[in-house]
Amino acid sequence: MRDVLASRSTAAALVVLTGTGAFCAIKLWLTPGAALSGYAPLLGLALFQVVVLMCVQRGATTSLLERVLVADMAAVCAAIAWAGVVPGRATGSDFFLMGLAMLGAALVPWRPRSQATLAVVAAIAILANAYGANAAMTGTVDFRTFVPAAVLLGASVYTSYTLQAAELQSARADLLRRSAEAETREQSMMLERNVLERTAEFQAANDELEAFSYSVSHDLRAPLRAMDALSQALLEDYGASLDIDARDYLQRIRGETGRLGDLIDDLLRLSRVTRSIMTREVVDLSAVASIEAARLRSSCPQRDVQFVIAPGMHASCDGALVRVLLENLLGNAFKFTRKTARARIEFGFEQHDSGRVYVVRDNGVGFDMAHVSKVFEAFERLHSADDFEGTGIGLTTADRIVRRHGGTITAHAQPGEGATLRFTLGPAGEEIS
Amino acid sequence: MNDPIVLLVEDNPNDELLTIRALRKENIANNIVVARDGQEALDYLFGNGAYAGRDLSVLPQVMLLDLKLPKVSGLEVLARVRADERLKALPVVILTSSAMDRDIVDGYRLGANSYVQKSVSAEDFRQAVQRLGLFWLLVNKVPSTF
Repeated sequence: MRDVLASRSTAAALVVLTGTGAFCAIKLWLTPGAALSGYAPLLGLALFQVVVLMCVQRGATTSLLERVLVADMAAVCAAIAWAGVVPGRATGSDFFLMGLAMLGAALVPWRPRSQATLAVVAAIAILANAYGANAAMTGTVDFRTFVPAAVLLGASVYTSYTLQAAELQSARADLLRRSAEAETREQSMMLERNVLERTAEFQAANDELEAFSYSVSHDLRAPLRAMDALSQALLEDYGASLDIDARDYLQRIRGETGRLGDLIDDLLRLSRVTRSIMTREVVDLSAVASIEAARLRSSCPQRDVQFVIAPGMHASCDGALVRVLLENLLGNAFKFTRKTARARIEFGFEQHDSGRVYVVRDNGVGFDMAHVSKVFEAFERLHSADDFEGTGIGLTTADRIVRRHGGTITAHAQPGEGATLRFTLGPAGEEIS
Repeated sequence: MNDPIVLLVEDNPNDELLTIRALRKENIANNIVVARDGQEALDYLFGNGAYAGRDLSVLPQVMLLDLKLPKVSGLEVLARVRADERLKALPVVILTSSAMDRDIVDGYRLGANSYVQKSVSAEDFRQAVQRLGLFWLLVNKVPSTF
């Protein structure tokens, strides 16, 4: 019962009902010759109100509430019939109100949603209930005597009905809110699941790639080595019985196996560059370039190459990747200046408004700008293998590394005048001079 | 035969031929035991299977170990060797085609004495094998018993 009383609407409706009951009881007591049996229908009506309220309170379904309200209207009709129609005292207004009560009953299942329809149904309920109650109490259907009862009963019904509606509405809003919340929760859970799934897929794809490059490095090398070594064994052990052509063919086989080996190495490096985890740190680009320059010079000591490396270039970038980048760019410059009399390879930077641009410039063989679009594409080569060896993957790797840093790389060249590669290392890469 | 033993664990017949050829060419090693998968290597080292009853006091002077092997992988062979009191100190050289960082790290973590990648170039491969043989059989000093 505390639950029922706790509800604001139920408490208000009970107060009104009690008031109505008291008023009707006083009126009955003051009316000479009134029958005590008049209390019974009154109590019946009051009970209906309580039942309606309790149904709402216990979270009754809308359809149950509708049935109770229809029963209420039926009771009103029965009261009018008992007081007016059966004793033969029925007037036009009796029939009008009975009709109205039936209309109200018919309107209930229509489920009033707007304030206007709610008001119409409430008005009908007030009139019908009040008249029915008055008829039940007094045993007469005097149109004038029911006005005070009508006001109180009407207030009661109106209060309970509108409050019920408000409660229903708030319950509906609550339900909507909860379902919206649930939907949001479900959506975020789905999102999370999606992210996890994608991450797992990505991880699986990466693992597969890792396994693939493992088998490439392991399985493709073994037959190559055997071909090369057996060709060499043939030359060593049976070279005397082979003529010049046969020995040349064997040398060609060995040369091609070596090239294929380089290709595998370069492809593996490219795939590693694309997949490795990137960590930025402050890298001394000048030092990295100097080490690479020294290595290149010692690889071909008879060559006269001048390296000009600007001192103190520091950048925030991935050390391992940028080392590969500079190896590729300086290695290219070294390779393509092979036929230049006084080879000069520069590594420096230009300060632009948009940031720092690093420059690798050589005075080597260069290339025709008509083919510039091919420079960064894998396996594309602008020189014949006879002129300059290579796999065509070096600049593709350089491009990947620069792009992973959020930077760009461009090439400018002229045949016979050398080539200039400009690259940036992304927003975080332009640091510290 | 009192020549020091080289245990060559290699499943590829060409690599086996080339390794033996390189080692014999300069008379670096003549006593080469070949195991063609990880299980055979373990059988030899622990005196099981085909090697049951072998004198286990005779240990190879060095084991040349490929990583990708049938049945038992090279890394697992290495782990078993290092877990065994008798074989704990056996010199193990990983000789493999793989240049994967993961393999190199795993190899050293499991206690390999060195890690040598088989070069694609025949000349480099032969040189590497011959240098390995020279170092581990002639330069390097091992105790009379481990």
